[in-house]
This record gives sequence, structure tokens and C-alpha cells, in this order.
Amino acid sequence: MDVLMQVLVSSVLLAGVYYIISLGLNIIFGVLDIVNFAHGAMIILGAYASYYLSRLTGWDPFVLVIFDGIIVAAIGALLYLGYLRYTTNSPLVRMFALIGFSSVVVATLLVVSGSTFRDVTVDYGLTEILGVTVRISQIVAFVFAIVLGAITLLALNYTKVGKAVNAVTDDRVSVQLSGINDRNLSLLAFAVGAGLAGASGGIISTYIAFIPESGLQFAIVAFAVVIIGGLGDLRGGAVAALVVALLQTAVSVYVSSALVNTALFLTVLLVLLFRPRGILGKGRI
Amino acid sequence: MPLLTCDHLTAGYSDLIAVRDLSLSLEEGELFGLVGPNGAGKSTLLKAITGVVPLRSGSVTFQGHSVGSLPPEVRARRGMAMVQEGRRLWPTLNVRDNLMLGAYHEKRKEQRVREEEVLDLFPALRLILKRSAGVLSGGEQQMVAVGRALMAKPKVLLIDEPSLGLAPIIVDEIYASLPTLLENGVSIILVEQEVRRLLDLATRLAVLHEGEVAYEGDGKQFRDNPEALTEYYLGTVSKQGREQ
Amino acid sequence: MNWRHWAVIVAAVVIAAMGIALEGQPFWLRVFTFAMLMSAVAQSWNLLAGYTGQWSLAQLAFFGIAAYLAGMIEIYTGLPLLMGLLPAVGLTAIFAAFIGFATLRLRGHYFAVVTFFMLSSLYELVRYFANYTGGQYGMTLPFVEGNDVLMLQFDNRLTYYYAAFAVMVIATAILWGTVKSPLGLILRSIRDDQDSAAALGIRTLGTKVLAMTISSVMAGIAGVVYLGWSKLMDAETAFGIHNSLDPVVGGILGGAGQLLGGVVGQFALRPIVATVYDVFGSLPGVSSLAYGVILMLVILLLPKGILGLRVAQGSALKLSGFETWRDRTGDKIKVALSGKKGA
Repeated sequence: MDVLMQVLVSSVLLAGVYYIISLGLNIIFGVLDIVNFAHGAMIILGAYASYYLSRLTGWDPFVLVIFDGIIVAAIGALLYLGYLRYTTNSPLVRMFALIGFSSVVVATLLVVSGSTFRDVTVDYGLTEILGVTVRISQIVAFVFAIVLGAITLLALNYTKVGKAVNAVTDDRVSVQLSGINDRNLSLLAFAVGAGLAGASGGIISTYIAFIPESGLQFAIVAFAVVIIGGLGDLRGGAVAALVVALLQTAVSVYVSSALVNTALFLTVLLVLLFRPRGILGKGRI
Repeated sequence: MPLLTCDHLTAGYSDLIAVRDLSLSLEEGELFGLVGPNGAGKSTLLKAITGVVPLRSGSVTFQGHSVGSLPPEVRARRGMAMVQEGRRLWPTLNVRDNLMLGAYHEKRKEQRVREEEVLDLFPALRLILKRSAGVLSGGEQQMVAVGRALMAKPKVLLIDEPSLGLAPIIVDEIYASLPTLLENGVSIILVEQEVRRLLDLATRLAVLHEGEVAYEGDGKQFRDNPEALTEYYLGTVSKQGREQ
Repeated sequence: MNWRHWAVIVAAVVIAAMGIALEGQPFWLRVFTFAMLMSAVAQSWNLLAGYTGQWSLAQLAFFGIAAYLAGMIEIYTGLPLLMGLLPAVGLTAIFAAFIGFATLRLRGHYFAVVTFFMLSSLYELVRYFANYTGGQYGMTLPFVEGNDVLMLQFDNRLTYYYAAFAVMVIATAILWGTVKSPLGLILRSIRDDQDSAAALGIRTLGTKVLAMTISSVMAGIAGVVYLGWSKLMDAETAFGIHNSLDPVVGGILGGAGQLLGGVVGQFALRPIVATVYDVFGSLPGVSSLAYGVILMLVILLLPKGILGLRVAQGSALKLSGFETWRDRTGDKIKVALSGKKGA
């Protein structure tokens, strides 16, 4: 019973970060129709940004999360403006281009930082929730993630620009015909998605150590969440974040941590075969 | 000088040329009707004018400027608005937001003023401002679509088959609003399948057949004899009036 | 026989002769041996992606699985590699059929993402079952002195070169045979417009699975021969995401949808990567950097690949002119297929 509670509580806390990871991916997919294969790389970029910034400034990594987001958003914007928009306008081709970018990022990080684990984890002490011991930093990470997610959703639903972004996901041509510059919105969406990824990386770095290849693992998690939640479905992403977090934690604890990706693979496969629109059925095919 | 001119316009999709060497002009204050059978190229023509479909050759001139190389959103900002076939609203947004995005670049105050004008034109929308556009009826959608286009205070309004899929009584309401628009200085190109309604309203009329103009004129001769138009529809009579 | 056929024959002769010319240069001999083995895998990717439109990230997995199987067969049953090749590749093909059946229902990006998941799963599994596979240290085959054809053991580097040459020729022949057959026409119709193909009565899933199975054979043969050459196979080589990009980059660089796409691509790619390795070799991650940069550049500047440069038709990637070709070919296929009911 103790173990079960442990699994549940850690999963919920983990799901917070997973949710904003999926939020970024879904925004990019909704607006640009691309599955951002570089999302994992952007996450790990955020983590490394925290690492280097903390060495530079000595600030608390949670404070650095915002900067991570901004830095990676800028990188995303540059990637879009300087490269992506000139590639063939096919989602599949662009996906592979992003895979290339992902390789470039991970490899560059390897060259720059080597394969030593980097650690900016924070220790605020421990506390208890429902009889389970948790690190306070995990709770702070969760709150951070939720707040960031909420801000993004509020911006999407209540600001003029946010509504325009929503409109593009529905019907891009109508947006153009209404005199709105949809290419700027594409840029914005990509940058925001990247920024959210970077921020997620910053948040994650507060409780685990990482190496460049960790980016690949994050990519796996990110895709699992959006596929299970339904590509483009923001609410589904919330539920899926929990499902994936639970799946990961439960498999690690009850089976083996060395089989997590296999479990994710099988789950994703089953979902795609039997419920391709995701858990809530609102995703895009 | 005409408000809008198409000059030897050719446009189409991949392998299919839908509009061939077509020339038309729209004068200010006109309601120009465009009819023709399915596949005649009417929608493509509107899309070429607004920039959704690129021009293969020829030009589009609006208010004296050539706009053929401009992207759709620039043409829209210059005063061209389009109500697409099938309405094409944004279902994740509510009615008010759908309208508001039509005047995206205006300040909040100006948006409210224009929204009021649209609501005066279509009072039924007042009750459903907060409703999601995805759950509206066909008639409501059509009103919102027209309203959205009007929010931009366009000089030219291009309407593609507004009566498609709608009950006649709803279509009446839409059509009832058109004279008001003309009075307010909006010139209109109206693509329709339902020829009769068009005949009552249109200042001028063109029949498209297989991408070319089969007839162009004031349409008066067809008011009492709409069946005569079908000959142009079917292509049995060409623009020159000769039997094919 | 037109000039194209002659060009291919000449190229083949040149490559074969190159082996003898390079005999004193073990570095380059190695580079091109590897290039030819990988060209088989790139061609297998070409078949699945370039001709059938299914962009997989996991083509290298079939290379790895066949190698692992053949290796384990030799280790546990003593059956030498060359004889183990048949069962190993056969089992790989069966695996490919199963996986294909499960995943090829999915379209475009979903399929690609799933292959990515599969790759990471296989990587995990190989390490989990370390007892059988050697885990992260990899599976090593015993090294034997002298020549033993059955064990794919040669004491001469040059012989490996020609073995790899044979693999490349076989793979290209399989690709050529498939593409030129009626199956090839159907594959391309699926690539261009799957829905239309289905509407014409084509069994799209079955055909795609067949394509994947054939491609797995191509990659699998290369894998077994590779094992004979390097005597080592590990999870990173077989299922690492960076290495998995190798056949993809090779295929796109050479020309996806071009008959020699994989070959040209690898011959262009390998010297670049090898030189990069040579110059920066000690720095980890350099080869993935090279793949990544090359992939990004190729997609931007040369999406049709080297062989696609002069060609308006026959490319797998969508460019504006492609839409025209697609519709035209679609019509041709409809005409062709209307004479073949039940194809």
C-alpha cells in the first residue's frame, strides 16, 4: 500500500511537468501541423541553460526557469525564421528536418559539456503528503508547471493573439482572408512551444541530473503524452500526462525501470490502433 | 475607373486549370452576380482574386493597384473581404471572437463599434454572442461569416454560394442585408447557384462555363425568362451568342 | 539497354576496381566497405520511404535484428554465419511483417513516431536481456584465423570489400526488381495518394507490409555480413537513434525514390563522415553532429537528393512541380490498373 501511494503521489507531481511539455508540442502541432521531433532536444537545452546560468549567476534554478524558457524560445524562433520556414512545406519532411536539428543539439551539447551528468537539483528538504515522503522541490516543480500551464492557457483563450492562434489551428485560410498575418502566428506558436519545452527542461533539472542524451528520453515521454492525449487536444494532454507519469512510475517500480520505453511503445501502439484520436477522442488524426 | 478588375486571369490547381483567360470588372456600388454550373470555376475565381489560389497568368487590379502578387492577408487589409463557401468559421472560438478577429488590427473600442453595426444588420446574433461557433446552425453560421467579413469594413465583399445548404427562409435574411451593404458603400461579387435571387439584386451578371465567361451583361433579359440562362450554363450558347 | 543501364554497369565496374586500387589504404577500404553495407540499408529505406511513402526511422533495426539473430545462432548452435544468414534474415522478415501489420495502418507522422518508439524499445530490450545479447557491451563473435567463408571470416580486407559489394548489388537488385514489377507501380500509387489507391481496390495495408518485409530482407542481409566483418554488434549500432539516421540521410541525400538513391547517398555520405571522424574523432558526438547537419542541409537545399537534381519526376518529396507529376501519374496508374482487376 505504501508503495502504491508512493507511485501515485510521485506520478501526480511528475504529471505537472509532462503536461506543459505536451502543451508546447500540441501548440506547435495545432498551428504548424508538425510533430516537433526536436522537442526533446529543446527540453534538454532548457536544462543545460539552467546549468550554465546557475554557474554564472548562482541563482536558484527555479528562478532560472523563466530564462530557460526565453532562451529556448529564442532558439526556436531563430530555427523557424532562419531554417524551418524555407524547407519543403510538408509535415513529414519538416519532421525529419527537426530530427536532424535534434541530433545537432544533442551532439553539440556533448561536445560542449561532455557526458558527465550535470546536476542543478535543488534541496528544499522533505515533507509528507498522504503518508508519502516527498521532496519539497518536487512540489514546487509541480506548482511551477501548473502555473506556467495556466498562464499559457489563459493567454491562448483570453488574449487577442491567443485567439488568433486558436483560429489558425482551426482554419488558416480564413485567418489570412481576415487580414491577419498567419506566418507571424506560426512563428509565435513555434517559439512558444519551444519556450515551454525549455521551461520544462529547467523545471525537470531541479530534481534530476542529466546528460545530453536525456533529451531523447524526454522526446519519448513528450510524444507518448501527446499521442495518448490526442494530437492537438490540450485537455487530453492533461489526462495523458497523468497516464504516462503513472505508467512510467508503475513500470519502474513494479516491473523494471529498464523496460519503461517498451511499455510506452506498446501503450502508444495500442492507443494508435484502437483510439487514434486519443483518450478524450478529440485529437486530430 | 472600376473598383476591381481581372485581366486575362488564368488560375487553377496542380494540373487543372479552372479559370481560363478571364476578364471582368466590378464598378463601385455594384452587385455583380456570378453564376454557372458546378466546376465552372466560380469559386476558383474568387480565390484567385483574394489570393488563396495563385495566378498562373493575368492580373488582378484593386483600387488602381495590381495586387496579383500580394498574399491574401495583405489584400484583405486593403479592403477585400471574402465569405467562403461553407462558411469556414473557427469552431474553437465563440461568435463574438469570430467577429472580433475580422477586425483584428483595430482597437477594442473600434471593434465594439463595428460589432454593433454587424449586430444591427443581423439582430439574431445578439443572443448568441457567447456561443461556440462550432454548434451554430447553418443560418447562424452564414450570418457570422458575413458579419466577420464586414468587420473589416471592406470595399469589396466576395461571397461564395451563401445559400448552399441553407433553408430558403434563412437565405432570405441574408439576401435582405445585401442592399444595406450596397448603400453603405460595399461593392459585392456574389457567386450563386440560385439564379433567381441573383436576378433581382444584381446590377450585372456573368455566367461562367468551364472557366470562361459565357455571358456578361445586366441580365435584364433574363428577369422574366431565367430559363434562357441555362443555355449559357450548358454552354450551348457562347459569349458571342453563337450556337456551339 | 539505354545509357542509364550502361552507366550503372560502368559504375559497378568502377567500384569493383576501386577495391583493388585501394588495397594499400586500409582506412578507405574500410570506409567504402561500410559504405556499401550501409547502402543496402539505405536502399531498404528507399524502398519503404522513397517508393512507398512510409518514412521509417527504424530501418536500421532490421539490420541489427538480423545480425543479432545470426550471431546468437552461431554462438548457441554453432551454425556458422553464412548458413545462419538464411534463418536470421527469415526471422527478421517475419518480425518485419508483424511489426508492419501493426504499425503501417498509421499514417505519415504517426508511423514515423511509432518507429521511433520501437527503436527505443528494442534498444531497451537488447540491454535488458543482456544475458543473451551481451547487453551494453554488445555481442562479440569469436575471431578465427584465416579464411572461413561459412563463418564469413576472411583474413583479407579486400575480400570483405567484395562481400559488401555483393550485398550492395543484391540489395539494389531487389529494389530494382520490386520497383519495376507491378508491385512497384502499386507502391508508388500508395505513396502518392493512398486513399485513391484504396478506392481502386488496392490492399494498401498488405502491400505496405510486403514492402516493409522486402526492405527488411535487404537490411538484414547487410546486417549479417556486417557482423561477419566487424565481429561485434551492440545496441547502439543497431538501435541507436543517431545511427538510425544514417540510412535515412543516405537515402535522402542520394535521392528518395531514385533507383540508386541509397548507393549514391552512402557513397557521398561515408567519406564525409569518415573524414569528420578522422579529424575530430576523439570528441564524442561528432558523427551525430555530422548526420544532423547534413540532414538539415539536404532537406533544405537538396530535398530531391543528388539523383533527383535533374529529374522532375520520380521524386518522393513534395515540391510544387511534384503535385503535377503526381496527378499525371495517378491517371496513368488508374488507366493501367483498370486493365488489371484485383491487382
